[in-house]
Amino acid sequence: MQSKTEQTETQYINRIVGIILATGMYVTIGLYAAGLILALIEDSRIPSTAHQYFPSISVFISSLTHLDARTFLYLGTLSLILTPVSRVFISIFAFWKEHDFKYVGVTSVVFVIILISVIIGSVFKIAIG
Amino acid sequence: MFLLFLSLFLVAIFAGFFGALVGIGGGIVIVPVLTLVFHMPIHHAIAASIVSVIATSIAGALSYVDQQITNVRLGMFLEIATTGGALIGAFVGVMMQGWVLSLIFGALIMFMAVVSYRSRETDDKMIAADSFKTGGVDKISRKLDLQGEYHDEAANREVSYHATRAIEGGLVSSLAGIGSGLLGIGGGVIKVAAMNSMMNVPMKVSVATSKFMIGVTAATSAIVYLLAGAVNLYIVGPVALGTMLGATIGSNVMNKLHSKVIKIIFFVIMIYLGFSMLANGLRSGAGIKFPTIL
Repeated sequence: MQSKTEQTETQYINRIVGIILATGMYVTIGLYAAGLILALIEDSRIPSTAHQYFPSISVFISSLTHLDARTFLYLGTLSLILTPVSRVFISIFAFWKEHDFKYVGVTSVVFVIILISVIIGSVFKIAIG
Repeated sequence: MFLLFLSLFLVAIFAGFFGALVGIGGGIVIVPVLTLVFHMPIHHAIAASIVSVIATSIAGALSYVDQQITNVRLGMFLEIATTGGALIGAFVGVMMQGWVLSLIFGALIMFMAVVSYRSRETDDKMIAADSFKTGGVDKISRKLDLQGEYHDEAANREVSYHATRAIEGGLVSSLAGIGSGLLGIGGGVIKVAAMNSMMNVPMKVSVATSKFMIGVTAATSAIVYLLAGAVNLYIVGPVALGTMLGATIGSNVMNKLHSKVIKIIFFVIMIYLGFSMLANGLRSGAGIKFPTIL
């Protein structure tokens, strides 16, 4: 059976996780909605290179100020992906604060695996025929 | 473009709703529909699906009911296996030919439909018999404190449980991760099976915890697909928004239904989509034609 303190710890972690997820979801919805509306205003066709969009930071900032649809959709996708990732990252500290070092370890391993996926994706490019 | 956005959005609402009901990310509906109805390259479909799977997972995990049922520690532990699998799956998926992916997709979802159908009767009976807390607990489950308690609305009582067979559950969950990366599905079905059938965790806890894990698992795969250049932003946008909306509605209905009803609906749709994907793979890979509705 769980003791009273363990119950509170679990609730504390649940609350932090809930706040992260809610924020991430609303930011994503806003960015996607903006991107789709801009796309409808901009043009009636999907650019053929829509899936090969890797902007540099300077291009990124200038396309944001020019209200480029793709940039907003890209940011929406990024914020969506980063939401669960930041949940993992912050959970490491939440477990640390609760002195649950077993789960600091468990969560850190998950975070390292996510970092490896950044390397794999950057190295291997897809060829869709 | 407005009509395309609208139809993608509507399809995604359905997929998200259905996905939330059975604890999958909705990818199992999105990938076949994008390839069979919208005629998209399967790699684009998989990438769009995996991104929207994250959306489903977030929307689902936000519901108050889910937060009460989810076992965060159990989820964190199994995430090691699922993200590891997702990494491998996404790498292989990016490299693999489309028609092979289509065949694997079809075979896998038909298999999972059967597995899930066979365990159809047990959950309601096990709650009644209180057998979720009596199973033998292994060393790892005890060390990592993999146990908990939740309020079951359908049975109208508190159900407490102790997880068991942590290693086996982890191994099966890594398959779910591979499925996520390779095929763009949440892999929830496999995770739910691992927790419910193997680790002796109640169905509703398994579904909620699976949804909790799906976000991180899918994010790992999505990072690979996005950076490798398979995410079509104009498809992902409406699909992700639609799944979020559908999943939010679905999660609110989930705890009010008996798991038996959920599993039967799930079985029928899975068998049908599995058959269509197999037919699609055989057509583009080997030129063999099957009669299909889609």
